[in-house]
Amino acid sequence: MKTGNLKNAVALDASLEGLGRYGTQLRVARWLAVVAIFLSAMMLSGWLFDVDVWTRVAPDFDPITSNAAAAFLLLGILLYLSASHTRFISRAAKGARERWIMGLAIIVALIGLLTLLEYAFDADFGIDRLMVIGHGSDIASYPERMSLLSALTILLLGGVFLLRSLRLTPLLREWLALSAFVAGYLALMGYVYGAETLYRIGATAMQVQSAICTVLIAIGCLLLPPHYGLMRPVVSRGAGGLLIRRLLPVALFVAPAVDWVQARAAAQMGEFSLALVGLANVALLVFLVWSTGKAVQLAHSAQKTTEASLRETNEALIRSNVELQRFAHVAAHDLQTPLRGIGGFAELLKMHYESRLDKQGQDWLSRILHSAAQLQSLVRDLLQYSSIETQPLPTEAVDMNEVLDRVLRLLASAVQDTQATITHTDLPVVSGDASQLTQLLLNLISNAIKYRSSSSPNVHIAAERSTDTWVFSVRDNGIGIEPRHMERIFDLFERLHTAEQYQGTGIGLSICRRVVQRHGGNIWVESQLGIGSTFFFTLPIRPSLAQ
Amino acid sequence: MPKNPKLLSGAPVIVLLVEDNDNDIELTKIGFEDADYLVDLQVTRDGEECLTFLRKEGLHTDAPTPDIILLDLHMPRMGGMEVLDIIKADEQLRHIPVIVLTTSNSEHEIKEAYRRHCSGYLVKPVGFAQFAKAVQAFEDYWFAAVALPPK
Repeated sequence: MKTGNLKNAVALDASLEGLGRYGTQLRVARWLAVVAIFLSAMMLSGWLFDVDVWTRVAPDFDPITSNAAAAFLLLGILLYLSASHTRFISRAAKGARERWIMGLAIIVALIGLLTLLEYAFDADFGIDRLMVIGHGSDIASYPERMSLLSALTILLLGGVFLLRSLRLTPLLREWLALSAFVAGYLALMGYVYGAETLYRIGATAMQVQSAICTVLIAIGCLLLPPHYGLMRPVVSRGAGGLLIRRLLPVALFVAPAVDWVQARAAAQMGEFSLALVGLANVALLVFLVWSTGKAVQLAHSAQKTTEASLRETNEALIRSNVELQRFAHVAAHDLQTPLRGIGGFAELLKMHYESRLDKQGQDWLSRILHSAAQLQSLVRDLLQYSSIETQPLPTEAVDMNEVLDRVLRLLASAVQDTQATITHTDLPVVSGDASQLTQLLLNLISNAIKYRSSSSPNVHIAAERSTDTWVFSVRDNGIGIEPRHMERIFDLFERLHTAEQYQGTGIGLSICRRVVQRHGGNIWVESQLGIGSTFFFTLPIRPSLAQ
Repeated sequence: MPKNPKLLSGAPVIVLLVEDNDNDIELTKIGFEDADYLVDLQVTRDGEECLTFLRKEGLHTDAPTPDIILLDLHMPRMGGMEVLDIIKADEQLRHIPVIVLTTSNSEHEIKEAYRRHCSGYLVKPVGFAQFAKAVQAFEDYWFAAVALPPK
């Protein structure tokens, strides 16, 4: 049941991440792209096949230029490509798609840029009629060049996709898309309220179709992940994001649409119809408030359920972890008493009765003694391992130089026996548990001496400061470790040698890893077989001591 | 040269071992037999029995007053920490040095035992040779270097 909860929680999280989060936004972006592609394709084919009404979309709109239609078509395709899933396609196809996106983005940005330059320098680069060459003289009646505003929004939107494919500053990308959106939206409002200044700059006016395409694509761009700054709360999970997603479209589009209908109604209908429109307006708002409230409530209760099951799972995990710790400790501890009986009396037997045993008996006795000693070191290491977490971690200042001195005193005889040379740089003061850190260095340095090559061991201990951690290293000239073993040597009971080759329990490095992790650091090894190993571990810099 | 007046007078030092494990009792006995000083080793098997021994109650009405107590921590019925508390709160008994002799080398328990005024903390070694060494060191300190409280 507990694992079930955990699984559910994980699955829920994954589905929220995959569908509720990016999935819906990408789907919306793709639909926006489809509408934009449809509109612009219709206008462009109107130009190519001389169907006048297609270039206008609606009879009382003015046509938009072929270049603008082409640019919006490309932008629609770009948006669609960028908003489709990449999870299930091959790496090569992904690469090809990325190249296409970059190429198209460059073309679009160039169309916008060149047109703007034409305006700026009052020049004609011959690009304005590129799409309609050979269409005869009636072209003269259509506007030759897209409006200044259209050129600007096309450049901005092209820039968005270019920045995206170059993986440059997402914040700038968001601002470009937002500027394009504002320009398109203002133009659209200009048409809704009949305010010409909103869509006209100088002599050129942005057409309503361009405004619509700009708004569609700009919104699509804003929906593309990753999200920064302004868009982050919009796509955020939970009640806040839900409210924004529900209410923002209303504020942006429904309110002006209602205004527009009301204005029309006032001009054409009687008072009763006007009242009906007003009531419809109220009904719409009431429905919106109610459905939004309901959605928030649903999201809230779903979240509550998830939280409760997560909390339950977490508590169960903590409980079983603590129980496991205690079990290991008690088991290891209680093993010691019978072990002392075995070891102690075997030793007494050897002291007092060995001479009365024959060769075979003596051999068996020494095997008992050897096994007891082995079991003893196993129990001792296990106890140490399990006590790392049973005791709370103190956060006292620990001078690692003093820790090293203590370790070297403990290792004095081993150092002398192996004629080891041990050098070190000045070590920092860190925060943590002195006895655990002693254990850490003791294990690493004694390993460096134990796993020595034929030459006498050379061990160097150093610490270097990186941005927010100390990186300690213990370098030796020992036998080294094969790359494939570099991970598993830190696991409990993992050994690379038999007890005959090198004595040990396979717990030492596990203790090291546990100590380091408990202190908020990492441990890893770099090594070359036959040349030596360097064990690295990190410890956080003490906040009060960091200048 | 032993400085303890009792040793000079030839009387054995009375050591009360409070220990529930049979093997450990046997090993301690042998350890004291092999060591240099004359010891009268008395054994009680848990905390409650230890207290009736010290107060000369029940089965122990004839019990001698020990010169020093060796106390295990983990025992049935009444553990060592509790015994330590009771001894150190008892006007009649608190002068007797209590040495904790236990398996555990946990820092927490060492600290706790000293907080309760034990006079020493010995971790039981595993092998007999080390055990004998520990007993010898114990005797050298408590029976020779130090003057025990007079009766």
